[in-house]
Amino acid sequence: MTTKVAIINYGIGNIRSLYNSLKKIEIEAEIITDPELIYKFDKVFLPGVGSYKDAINMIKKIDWEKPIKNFSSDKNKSLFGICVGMQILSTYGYEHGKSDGLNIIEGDVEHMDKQGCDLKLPHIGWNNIKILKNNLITENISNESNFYFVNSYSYRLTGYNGLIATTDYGIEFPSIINKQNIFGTQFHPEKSSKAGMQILKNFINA
Amino acid sequence: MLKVRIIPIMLWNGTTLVKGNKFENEKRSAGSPLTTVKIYNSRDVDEILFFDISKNNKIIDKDFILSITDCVSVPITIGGGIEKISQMNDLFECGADKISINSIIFKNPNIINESSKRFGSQAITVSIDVKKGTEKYECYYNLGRNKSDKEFKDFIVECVDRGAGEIVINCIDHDGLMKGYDNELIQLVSSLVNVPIVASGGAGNYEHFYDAYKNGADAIAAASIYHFTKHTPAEAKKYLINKGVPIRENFII
Repeated sequence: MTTKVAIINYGIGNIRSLYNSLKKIEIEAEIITDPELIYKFDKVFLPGVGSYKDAINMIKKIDWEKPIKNFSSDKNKSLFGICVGMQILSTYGYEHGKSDGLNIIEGDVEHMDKQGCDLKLPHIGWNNIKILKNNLITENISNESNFYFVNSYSYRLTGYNGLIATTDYGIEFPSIINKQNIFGTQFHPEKSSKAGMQILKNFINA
Repeated sequence: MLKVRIIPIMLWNGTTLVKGNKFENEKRSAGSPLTTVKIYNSRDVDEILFFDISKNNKIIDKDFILSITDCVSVPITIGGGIEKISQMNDLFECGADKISINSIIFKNPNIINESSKRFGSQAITVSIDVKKGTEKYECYYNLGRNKSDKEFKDFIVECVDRGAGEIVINCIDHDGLMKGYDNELIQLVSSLVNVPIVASGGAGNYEHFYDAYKNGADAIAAASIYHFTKHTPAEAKKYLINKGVPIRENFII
C-alpha cells in the first residue's frame, strides 16, 4: 500500500517549495485546505512561517485544532511540524503576547534573547545540528549536516524526552524533536537541499 | 555554528542572463537562466540571488519566476524593479524566500517598514549600490545611473532601523573587474549595522572571498567569476574550509 501524504494549507507558509521537495523524492503530496480530509492520509506536514500567534490563530479560526489533535493521537499516522508549524505543537508561545498552542508536545516557545542568546537575531542561514538520540528521522544524517534556519524564537521542552537534536547559536536550542509519531524541525527541510530531502525521506519511511 | 554563505548572482535582462562591468551589463551574455539555476542548485550553492534588470521588471511574470523557483532547493532572493507590497506578495507566492529592494528605497524609504512588518525582517533584503566619491562613499540607484543625496553611512543605519533584515553591498567601482571586493567598504558597513552583510562586486579569485570574510562579510556573492572563469562555488567552499572559515559542506550519504 502506498503511503498517502498531505500538506496542510492553512494560509501560512511556503507550501510550494515543500511540495516540490517531496516531488524530488518521488512523493506526490496532496495539499489540503479542508480539515476533515486529514484522516484520509498517513503522513501529514504542518508547515509555517511568520509569527506563532498568527499561525495558531489561523489554525483555530479555520477549525484545524481538533482534526490535527485527533490525527496525531492515532499511532498509525504521523505528523511533521516545520519551523512555526513545529513551534505551535507546544503548550504556549510568547511571540506578540502569550497564546495557547496545540499542546501536543509539552513545552513553550520563547524569544532566544530571553533564553540568553546574545548573537544577531533572527538566526538566519545554514547551521549544523548535534544529534543527541538515534531516531528514524536522523537516518544518514550526521552532526556535520547543515540545514537552513530562519528563527528568533525557539522551543523549550518540558523534560528532555523528545529532544533528538540541538543547534548552537548563542544558546543550544532544539532543532529536531519527536514524541511517538509526531516530529518537528526548527529548520526548513524544504530549503535545505539534499540534507533536507533526506529528512523528508526519513519521515516518509518512519 | 552559523555558516558563511556562498551565493551566485544571476542578472536577467528579459532575454538572457548578462554580466558586464561597473554596472554596464548589456554587453556580455551569460547564458540561459533555467540552465544556470539548475547547475547552481545541483552544485549545492548556499543561496541564489536573482535580479531582474529588464525594462519590464515592474510587471511580475509569475510563470517565469515559478519556472526558476521550482528548480531550486535552497533559499532564493529575488529583486529588480520592486516598488510595491503587491509585487512582493506575488514573488513570495511564486516561491521567493526573500525580496531585495533597491531604487524604491530612495523615493519611499517607508516601504522598508511596511514590507518588514508585513513579511518579517528576515524576508527583506536591502541592496545598495555604492561608488566612492572624492571624499566618501555615495549611494546610487536606477542601475547605477542616478546619484542619491542621502549620506551613505546614515542611510545604511536608517535602512536597518526601518527593518531591513540583511544588506547587500554592491560596489559599482569594482563590479565585474574581478580584482577583489572593496574591503574598506565591507568593513565600514559591518561596523555600522548588526544585520548580515552580503558582499558583492569584484571577486576574481578565492582569496578575494577570504578577504571579504575577514573584513566582516556574512555572505559572499559573485557573478562574473562563475560565468566567465573556471572558478566554481564548490571550489570556493573548499578553499575557504581549508582557511578555517565556517562553510556548509555539501551533503553526501
